[in-house]
Amino acid sequence: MSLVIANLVDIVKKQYLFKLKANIDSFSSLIWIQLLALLFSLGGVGSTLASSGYLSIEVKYYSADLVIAFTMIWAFVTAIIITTKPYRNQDFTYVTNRLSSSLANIIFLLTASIIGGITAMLVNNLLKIIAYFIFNEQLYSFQSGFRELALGISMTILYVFCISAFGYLVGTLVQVSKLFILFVPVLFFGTILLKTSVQKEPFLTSIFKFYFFEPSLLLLLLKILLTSCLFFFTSIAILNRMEVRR
Amino acid sequence: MSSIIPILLVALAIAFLSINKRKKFVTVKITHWLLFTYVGVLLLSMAAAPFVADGKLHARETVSEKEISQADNQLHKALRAGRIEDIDEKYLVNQKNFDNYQGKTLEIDTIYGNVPELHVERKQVDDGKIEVFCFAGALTIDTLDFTDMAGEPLSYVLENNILTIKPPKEREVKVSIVKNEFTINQFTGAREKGSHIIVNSPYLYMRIPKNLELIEGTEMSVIFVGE
Amino acid sequence: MKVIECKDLTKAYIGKNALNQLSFSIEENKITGLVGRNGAGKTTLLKIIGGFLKETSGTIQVFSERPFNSLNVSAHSIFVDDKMSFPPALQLYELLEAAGSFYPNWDMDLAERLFDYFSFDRKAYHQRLSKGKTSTFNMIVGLAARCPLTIFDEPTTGMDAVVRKDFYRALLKDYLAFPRTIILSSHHLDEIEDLLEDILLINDGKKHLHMPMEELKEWAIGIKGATATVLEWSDKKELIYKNQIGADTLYAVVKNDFDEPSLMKASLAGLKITSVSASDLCVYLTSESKGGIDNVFSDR
Repeated sequence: MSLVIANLVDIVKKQYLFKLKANIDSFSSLIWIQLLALLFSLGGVGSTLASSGYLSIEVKYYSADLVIAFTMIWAFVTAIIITTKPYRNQDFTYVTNRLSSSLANIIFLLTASIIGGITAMLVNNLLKIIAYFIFNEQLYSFQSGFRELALGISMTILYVFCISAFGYLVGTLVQVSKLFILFVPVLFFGTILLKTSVQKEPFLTSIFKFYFFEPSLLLLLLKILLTSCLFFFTSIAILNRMEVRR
Repeated sequence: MSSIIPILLVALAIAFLSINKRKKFVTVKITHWLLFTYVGVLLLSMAAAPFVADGKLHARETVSEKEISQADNQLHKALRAGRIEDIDEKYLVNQKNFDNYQGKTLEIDTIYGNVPELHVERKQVDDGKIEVFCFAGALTIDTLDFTDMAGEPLSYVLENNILTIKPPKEREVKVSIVKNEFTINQFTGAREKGSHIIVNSPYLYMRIPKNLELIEGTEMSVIFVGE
Repeated sequence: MKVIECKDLTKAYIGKNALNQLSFSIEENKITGLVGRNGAGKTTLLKIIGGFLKETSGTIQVFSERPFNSLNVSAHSIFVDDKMSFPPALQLYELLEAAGSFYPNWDMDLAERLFDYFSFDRKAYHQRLSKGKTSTFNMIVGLAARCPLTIFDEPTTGMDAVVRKDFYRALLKDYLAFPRTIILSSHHLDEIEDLLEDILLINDGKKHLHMPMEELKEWAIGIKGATATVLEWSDKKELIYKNQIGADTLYAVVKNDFDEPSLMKASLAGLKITSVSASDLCVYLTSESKGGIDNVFSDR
C-alpha cells in the first residue's frame, strides 16, 4: 500500500473547518455575553453637570466599551477552554499532530476574534437604537465615518486576538500543571497588592498603559502582534511535548 | 423600527436557553440561526442608526478646539468691522427692531450677570430705527458642536429712553452622548479626559440712527464699530 | 514491509515501567492480536504506536517514522477504543462526515451501511450513546477509515454478544476486501482466535510471545492423568500450568516439544493428551502463580 504523504497545510485547513463546526456553541455564548454587556451599558457610564450663566448643561454618557471588555473576557475563556483535555483529545480522534492542532486552534481563535470584534463594534448601533426607543432622551453620537469604523473594528479584533493568545498560554500552562490555576490569579492580584509595599506603579498598570495608551497605530500594531506571537509560540513549544489521552 | 425590540427579546431568550439547556435543546441549526439573527439585527441597527434622526438621535460633526476658537475669532472680527452680513445665520440667536424712536438719547443697561460684549454701529441716516442683534458663542461638548443649542435668547425692553437687556430664562440643556469605543478613541486623540465642555458668551450688536446719543449703563461697555 | 518496529521500547510512569524493553515488529497487512492481563501495558503500547504517548527510551517506528507528532502516522492510522473523544456539538452523521474529510481512504458508503445496520440515528449525539452503542459507533469509524494501520483497543467494550459477532464478521470481510494492518487487543481471545493471524502476548510490559496463531495452537499441550505419571512426564519439560483435579488426578500444561513416538507412549501410559486453546494458554502463560485462583482458596 503506497502512502500519500500528509500535508500540514492541508490538515490544518481541515482541522480548522472541523473546529469551526465543533466549537459553534462558543459563538452562542459570545452573543449572550455581548447582550449582557449591552444590558449593563444601557445604564450609561457616567454623567457631567456644568453651568454657565443661565445655561446649565447635563451630559449623560453611553458607551459600548463594556461590550468590548466582555468580548475580551469571552475570548480569554474560549482560548482556555480549547486547550483543555477533551478538546485536545477530539483532535487526536482524527488526523493531527500537536503542531497542526495548535495552528488550527490559532486560526480558530483568529476567526473568533474577528467575529467577536466586528459584532462588539456593531453593538454600538444597537445601543443607540435601544436607547432611542426606550429612553426619552436627546441622544447624540459622534459622526464616525467608515474610516473610524474600520479602524475601531481592526483594533478591537487585534486586542481580542491578543487576549485570546494570552488565554491560550494560560490554558496551556494549566495543562502542564494544575498549580497554574492558583499561580496565575496570585500573580495577577499579587502585583496589585505589591503596590502598597513598594512605592512604584503596579506592574499591571504599566502593562495596561503599554497597550491602551499607545497613541501610535503602527507601534500598537507591532506591540500586539509581537505579544500574540510570543504567547502562541510559547504555547506551541509547550504543547508539542505533551502527551494526550493518558 | 419598534419591531426590533421583540426580535431582540426573542434572540435574548434563545441565547439564554442555549446556555442553560445546551445539552438538551440546541442543535447546530439553532446555533447557526441564532448567530445569523444576531448579526442581522446588528447590521440592521447599523443601517437604521443614521436614519432615526428625527430630533432625538443625531450624529454630530466634531470640531476641534482650534476650529472653535478660529470660528469665534472670525465672528468677533466681523462684528468689530460691522460686517454682520458675512456672519453665518446659525450664529444669529435673535433680532429686535424698534421703529420710530423719537428720543435724542438712549441709555443702555442690563440686569444680566454676564455682560455681553456690545458692538454699536452708527447708521448714515437718522431713520429713528434701532436694531438689536444677538449672536451666539460656540458651545461644544467633547468636541461635538452644540452651538445651535447654546444661544441664550436675551430680551430687550425699551422704556423711557432706556434699553434694558434682560437675561433669558434659566435653561437646562440635557444631552446624552454615545461615546465612541476606546479602540477608536485611542488614535483619534479623543482620549478620556473626562468631559470637556466649552461655552463662549454671546455677542450683542446694535444699529442706531446717526445722531442718537448713547449713554452707557453702569454695567455696560460699548465698542463702536469702525472707531 | 514492516509497519511497526520497536526496539527496547520502555515507557516509565512515576515509580513503574508500563513497558519494559519491549522489542517486536509487525508485518504489513496482518491482523495481530495483542493479548495480556489487565495492566500488562497493552493500552500504553497502542497509544505509543498511535502517537498519543511519548516513549521514555528505546525506539519505535511506525511506517518508518517516530509516531509521536508524526502527521503521516496520524493520517494513516486510527486508534479506536471506547474513550474516543468527539465534540459534543456535532451529530453522529456530522462526525462521520468529519472523519471522511480527514481520512484519505474513508469509505462513506460502508460507514452509512453499518450506521443504518446498527440503527443509529443520524441526528443523535455521541456523548448520549450507551456504552455498547459508543463502542459500535467508534468501531464503524475505525472500519470505514480504512487506515493502513488500524488499532482496536478493547473495541467490544459494552457490546452484546450479537453485536460483537457482527463486528468480527464486518472486520474480517472488510479486511479481506481491503487488506491492512490491524492490531486488535481484546479480553475475548476465544472470540477473535479465528480472526487473528499473529498473536503478541505481553506481560508486565515485556514481550512474552509473538508468533503466528497456528503455531500458538500447537505450542503447548495438556496432559491429564494420575499425578505421579503426569509429574514424571512433565519433569524435564517447561511446565506452564498445573491443576490438581480431585485426589489423584493432575492436569498440566507443558510446552510441546514432544515428538510423535513419545506422545504415543504417553497415551499408552494412561495419560490424556489434549490441545490447549489459545485463550487458555495465554491465561496460563501470564498468570502470576502457577496454581491460579484455586490456590487462593486451597489449604484453608
